[in-house]
Amino acid sequence: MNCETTDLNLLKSLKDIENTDAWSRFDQLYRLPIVTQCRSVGLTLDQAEEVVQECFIKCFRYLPSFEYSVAVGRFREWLNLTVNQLIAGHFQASIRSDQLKTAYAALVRNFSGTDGEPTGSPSVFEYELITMAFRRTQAEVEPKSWQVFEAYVIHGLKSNEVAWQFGVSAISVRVTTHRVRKILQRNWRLIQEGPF
Amino acid sequence: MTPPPDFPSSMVEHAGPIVRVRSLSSRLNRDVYLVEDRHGQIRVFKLHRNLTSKTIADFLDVRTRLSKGPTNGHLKPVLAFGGDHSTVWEELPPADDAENEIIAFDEYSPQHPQRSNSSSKDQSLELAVEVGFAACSALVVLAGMGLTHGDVKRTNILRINGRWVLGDFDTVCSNSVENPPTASTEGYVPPGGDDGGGRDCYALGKLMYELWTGCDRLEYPTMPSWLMTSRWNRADRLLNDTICRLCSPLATRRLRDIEVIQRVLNALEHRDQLAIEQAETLVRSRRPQWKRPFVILAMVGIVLVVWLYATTTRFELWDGQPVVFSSYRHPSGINNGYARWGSNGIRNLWILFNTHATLSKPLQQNEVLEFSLKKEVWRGHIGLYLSTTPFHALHDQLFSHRENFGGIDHLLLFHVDGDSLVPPTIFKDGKAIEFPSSNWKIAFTNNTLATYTIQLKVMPNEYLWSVSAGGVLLAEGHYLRDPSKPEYLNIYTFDNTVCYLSGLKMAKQNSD
Repeated sequence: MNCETTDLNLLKSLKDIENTDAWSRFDQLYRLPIVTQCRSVGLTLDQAEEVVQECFIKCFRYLPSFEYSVAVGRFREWLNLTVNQLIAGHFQASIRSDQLKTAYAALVRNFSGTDGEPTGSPSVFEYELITMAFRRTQAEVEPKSWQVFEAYVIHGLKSNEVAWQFGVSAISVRVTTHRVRKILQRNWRLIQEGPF
Repeated sequence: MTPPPDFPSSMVEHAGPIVRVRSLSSRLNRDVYLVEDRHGQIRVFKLHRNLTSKTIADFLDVRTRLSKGPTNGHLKPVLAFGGDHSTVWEELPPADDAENEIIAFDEYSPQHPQRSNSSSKDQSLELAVEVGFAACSALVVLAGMGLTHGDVKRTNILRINGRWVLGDFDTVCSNSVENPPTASTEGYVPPGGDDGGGRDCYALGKLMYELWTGCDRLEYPTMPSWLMTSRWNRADRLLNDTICRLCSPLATRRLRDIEVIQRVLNALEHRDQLAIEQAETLVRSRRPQWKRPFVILAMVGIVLVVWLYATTTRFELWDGQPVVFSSYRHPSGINNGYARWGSNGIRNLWILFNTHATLSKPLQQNEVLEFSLKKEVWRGHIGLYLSTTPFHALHDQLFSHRENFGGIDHLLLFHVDGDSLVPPTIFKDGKAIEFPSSNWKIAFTNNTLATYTIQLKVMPNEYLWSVSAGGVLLAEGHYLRDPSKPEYLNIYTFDNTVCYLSGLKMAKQNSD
């Protein structure tokens, strides 16, 4: 959705929970971008529909009390965060081992520019966000490139070990990893800025 | 005796008296029943209800083709089929791998391939390859009949008589159908869609991925830790490459030739090193095959060009003006040219040997340039020439006599050969053009290796220049200028002589 500006009149109309026309328009405008965001990180259609339903329930509770006149930008921010948190809920089980957690935390710190700073461990949501970015990147790069990146960065294999596994050169492992990391970082940022 | 459900009469007629019935699955008007007949034989019937006449016709057509077509033992056989009104049925063999054994009616459940958590890496590979080869062989048979399957997945692979077979023909259709029916099982459908055969190949890749890694198809292409950290062999690598090609997100990179896939899986199943080697060539993407030598050649080319450029061309400043030096290079390094910033004992200057120097900026109207040149030894030539193409921009820089500076047209306005100041010359298309003698006036002849001071004025329609030494005017010249063609000033040092270049002054004179 190219949502450059939030429709103030629509937000105002949504304060009335009985206004079915306004809610129907809201559904028309917001459903597809949410589904697209869900699908882009690998959720199934059923899971995407679940996210839409939960998100709309939250909007239904939140919008009648929403002060649109003072913080229009805040609605989009709130909605993006809500959608991403709901999606993220589907990735909770993905981070299984401590080794994965360490690798994910290093990536989160690297992407958020807090490398070397004495920060605590990332929050559950941050772990889930990076998992979402993984899914989005997996759909974008060649499977083998992803596997090389995963072996080197996530599983912590040395470049010559990865090179052996995949029958490529150690230099190619580093180049591929660098390329995938860039795409991953871009997707990590895009997810947080979306879907609206 | 269990009362039979609402079975079509043709089915009841075919099955004979039924003793027991057990429902195995029921979904979307499709029911599978386990039936015990009066002989105590366990049989499986699948019913499709509420069909249109078109879908009934398609069902009967596909089942007829399947039952009459060739088989290689990897397609689940359809034992019988028929239909009444809006319901069709088919009889399928039980799939519990109980070869020659009595099937327990109440405990029967179809056997599907499943990787056990305790399986070793080699066992997982073996299972993935065995099942993949069976499914692929079934697809080859279907393709031979002009059919595609449309729903290749783990739960549609069954164990019958000790072999894995591909079953469930609900989505089988002709491969010429524009919008083939598909079960659209999430994760088995290629992103962006594909034709029937393409979908089957993609799903085959996902099937092998699940069996090899134990991961869910939606996790693809992630590799589990246990597999990633164990050392791979050639077969592991080939299987992974095959899956990657089958499941590439880009349709153009996807492997879709089912017979090629069968050859690859056959090589993996038999672990024949020669066949694996050939299979690697089949699976390896074509792109890298031509790309690799191309990339190497391109890189070598770039390095050579950069090296040649870096060693023959230098960008420097001459008294604040940008100047480019192009030096001669001999294959064995003999008499290689150079341009050095040094001192002649009096002042700092540029010392050139077998080198062309070019002022980077073209000459501007009303500009006045003045500088000094000194030839160190009698041998060789030094000169100044104007050209529309700067020497350093030539692809094929030819260091030669004045007749040919790489073939560029030029006006050699100042030239010292030996210790003689010789008249200017013009070269166009490699041929000498007579310089008008009236345009060159010798004021004083002095055959010594003096320090020559050159002054060049760029007039609107002509160049004016003078050569002097020790304050004495030696000669003056002038020649037509085409203002539409910007020209560059080049300095020429050739035939193993050294030239000192100093004191460049540039000014603009008033056009009045």
